Amino acid sequence: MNIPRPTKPASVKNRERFLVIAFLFFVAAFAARLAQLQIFEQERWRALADDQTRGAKEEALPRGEIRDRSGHALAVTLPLTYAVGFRPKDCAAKDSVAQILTEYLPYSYETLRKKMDITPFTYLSRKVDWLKKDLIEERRLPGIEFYREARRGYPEGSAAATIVGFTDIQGKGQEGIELSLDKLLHADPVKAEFWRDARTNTVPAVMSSDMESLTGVGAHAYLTIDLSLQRVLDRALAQALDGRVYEKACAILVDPWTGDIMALATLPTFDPNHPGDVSDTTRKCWPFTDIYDPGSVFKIVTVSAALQEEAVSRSTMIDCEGGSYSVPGKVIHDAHGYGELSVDEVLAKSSNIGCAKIASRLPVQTFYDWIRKFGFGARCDIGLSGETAGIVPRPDNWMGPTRANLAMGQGVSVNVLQMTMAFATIANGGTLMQPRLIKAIEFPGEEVFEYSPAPLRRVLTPEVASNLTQMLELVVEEGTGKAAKIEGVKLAGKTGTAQKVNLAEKCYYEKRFVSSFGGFFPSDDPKYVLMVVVDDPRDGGYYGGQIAAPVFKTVAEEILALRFPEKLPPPKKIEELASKEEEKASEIDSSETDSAEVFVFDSLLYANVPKIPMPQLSGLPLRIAASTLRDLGLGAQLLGNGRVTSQFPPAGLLVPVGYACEVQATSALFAQ
Amino acid sequence: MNYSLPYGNRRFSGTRTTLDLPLLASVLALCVVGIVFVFTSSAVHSRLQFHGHSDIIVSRHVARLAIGLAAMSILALVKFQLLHKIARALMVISLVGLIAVLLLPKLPDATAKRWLMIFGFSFQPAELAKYALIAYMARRFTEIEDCPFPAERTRKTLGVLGLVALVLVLVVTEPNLSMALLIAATATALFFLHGVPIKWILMALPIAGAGAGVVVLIKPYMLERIRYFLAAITDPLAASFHVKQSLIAVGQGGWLGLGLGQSTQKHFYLPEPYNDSIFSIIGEEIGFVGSMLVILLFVILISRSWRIAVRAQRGFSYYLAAGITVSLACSFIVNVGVNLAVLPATGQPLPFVSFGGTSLIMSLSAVGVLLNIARQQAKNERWFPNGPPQP
Repeated sequence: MNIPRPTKPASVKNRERFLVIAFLFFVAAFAARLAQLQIFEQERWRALADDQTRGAKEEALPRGEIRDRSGHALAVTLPLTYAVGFRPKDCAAKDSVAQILTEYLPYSYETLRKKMDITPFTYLSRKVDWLKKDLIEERRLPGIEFYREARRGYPEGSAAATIVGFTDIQGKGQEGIELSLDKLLHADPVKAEFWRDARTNTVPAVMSSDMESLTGVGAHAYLTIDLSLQRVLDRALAQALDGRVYEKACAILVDPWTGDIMALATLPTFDPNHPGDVSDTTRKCWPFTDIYDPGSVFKIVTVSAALQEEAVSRSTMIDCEGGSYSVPGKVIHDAHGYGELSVDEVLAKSSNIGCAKIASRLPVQTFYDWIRKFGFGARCDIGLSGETAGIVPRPDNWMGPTRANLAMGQGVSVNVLQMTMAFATIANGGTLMQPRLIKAIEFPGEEVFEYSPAPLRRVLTPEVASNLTQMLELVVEEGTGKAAKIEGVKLAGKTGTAQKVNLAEKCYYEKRFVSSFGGFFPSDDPKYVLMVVVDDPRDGGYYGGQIAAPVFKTVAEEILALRFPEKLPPPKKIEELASKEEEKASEIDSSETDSAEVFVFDSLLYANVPKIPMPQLSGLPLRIAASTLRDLGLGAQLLGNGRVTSQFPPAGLLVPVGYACEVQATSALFAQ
Repeated sequence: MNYSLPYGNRRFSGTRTTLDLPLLASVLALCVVGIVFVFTSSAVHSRLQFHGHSDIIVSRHVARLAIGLAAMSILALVKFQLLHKIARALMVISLVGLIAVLLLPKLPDATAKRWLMIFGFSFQPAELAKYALIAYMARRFTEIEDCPFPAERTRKTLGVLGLVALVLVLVVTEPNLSMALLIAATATALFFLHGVPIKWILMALPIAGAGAGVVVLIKPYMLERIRYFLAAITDPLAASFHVKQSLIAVGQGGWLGLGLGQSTQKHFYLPEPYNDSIFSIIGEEIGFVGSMLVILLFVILISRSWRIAVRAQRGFSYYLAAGITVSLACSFIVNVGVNLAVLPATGQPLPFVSFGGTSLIMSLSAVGVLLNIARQQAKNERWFPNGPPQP
């Protein structure tokens, strides 16, 4: 339908067309420009966009845990903390940013301001907790970046600290298992991408969605350490050596049947949560990494070799020359002069001369082979870095006195673990076990990889091993190790007193010793091998029998009480106790009762409760005191350990049945 | 033959409506695009500004959109001839507003004296002035056309020119240079369509150039922007920071864009991403295809409203529709041109899409006027199928 219209002037129509063309020109220009930017140059602009908006940083994931054999955590990764980083190029107002940060970070304005000039990047603070991090983040300060940090924590503190080790601030293993299993425990940092807005803050929404998808942590390591035994060992060793002067000491507990290292206590100890507080020598696992001359404990090797080679029998008589004997290049002395001694007695009395003579019955190569057979001179490979192999001189280097020296444990360098494993070999009937420290590795989400106990080789026949056990029992019964004797429990052990090596001058110290005692218990049914080494004891005595053996006894008692209380003699009957302690009790009572008499249990609370006289507990081992009270029907609140030193209520007072008595015990071993 | 009877009774005229549907549809489509992109580009700013609420800015936008649509509906129903009557009054009100905005103190947070607070709403008198000037010029030009005395016509034309110059001076003083430029372009187009000889317009150019020179001397940043613009023609990386950010936004969009809400450039890289830079965000999030569709919507809108102007023949409605069309087209060209670095940087909202109070409401009202003109044209065509009665 055509509608006739009044005609417009042609000039106006042309002008209208001009405007339309101008508009279409712009539209065409826009289309062309869009095509140019978005289709032909897209890559270039995207690269520029990525350049300014995208960043990536490495994010730490939780490191695997270290656990004891039953899964108790020894090393854990604590809730994340953050490192606050600063990139000067993103920040124009450093002064005000520094001023604001002083509110949150424990640094002065000047310190922060100075740090902020470090290009291109610096950490302003580390280990900032999430709360502070959130507060700082809310201020949206330019140039500030946050990095997640793993923080390591050791819930058991110093327990097995030298084995567990510790990490540095970046979560990298520095000592112990933390170091040797670093690659397994360590979780590979994940590269996290983030967006940065024009105010150089990361864009949170993008950030969190990226973070949530991150999974995968480091593997967990299970050690053979038994935390309860470890605690007992730590406490008993510290208690036994309380007040003594020495350089360092250690006690190691091994299961002879599996080679499992159940506990290792070292003194001085340290807290891996604060590794910086102590020196390097304290932090390292020196029983495995350091060598020492074992001294007389090594005589078990000499004697077993001679017995197994049938060079001697237990009853062979050895002339001990009255305490002084020349071998080529040296004169050997015994602490006491002896005449003729049987091999049993040589070991029991730890005669140097006797042992040198026994060793001389073995060919040089044979004796050397025997030392190597027991594992000396080879690393145990328990999975700790820095472990030492020890030094056993090769036969072609042996000189005049070497064989005699080796026979009594001088001139051979071993570590504590090797010596312990030699005892374990005797304890389990002659098999040298591969010592085991790492029980299993658990890869999260995957199966657990378990290391099974591994026998290395048969060293002794069961007969020789059992003979040696009996000989070592004699050492404790009537020899140098009497101080280790525990009533009612059979104990096998050997004392050792070695001259300390002066590494600086390559000679032995004149008056400095390493005192040790190794053994296993109960020797008729060996459960544990225990080795106690006290390095350089300096107050009164240095013989293994004097220093290390009593420590051994305390530790062994505690461990038996914890694990095999039935092996200990049953607690004495109350009547016996009463009659035995009666005189003592009366003496003590007379001096102590004035305050005690004030206490009369006649309150209404106890009106209808039968009352019994409180027994005298003072001087009894805590264990026995506890069972005594229990048998009487009294409750007990036990404090400390060792022998009872005080009690409440005092002896003789009538106590209502069920009353919770307080018993305080301290180790009386060195108090006498 | 034609059975749709030209008696204006709907019952007998089938489904044919007097509404310009393509115009309305394109405007509503642009409004929807506007809501979507104001939301995606303002969420980050809103969250920061309003303590975690990402939707405050977009809800304000929607509220203003509702007011604008209401105004559009009313103006589509009210006879546009009303504007002929109130054109002078509107012009006076606008001039009072433009002077008031200069005399009253600056609003807090404002960079220029552009806004008046009226009943708690901020209001740009310049926006009103733009349309008031169009209506007033339309009326004067009609009067001039009806005037039989050439000398009188010249005097009246010069009077209109003087008024335009006054408005421009007031708007430049705010300062609001881009708005002044738009008003100047619209006015020039109207003079042009009015049939003013080309040589007059060419003679006015040196005067306008001198005015521009004065402005540049007072506001050196203008020169800087032009310098950057010229430098960026050869090397886009030499562009100023904001222009570069616009190009990065559009460029990385590619064919289909990064996807809605995925813009990186809205994270404070672009200035006013939900206002002046909204076209960059559109380019970034929906790419070449999406941007071309948005441009297509504008082309439909402009062509439909141009059609209304052309159909109006001479007279008040012709100048009114043409002025509105040119004004909308110029806003569109300036905004897109700036975002694509085809024009020197300046801040001008994209009509119907950008977040904006007065501009959005005024643009929609203008469309309402266009719809009314179209409606009357359609009615006239029914009543007078052989063309309007000759006076």
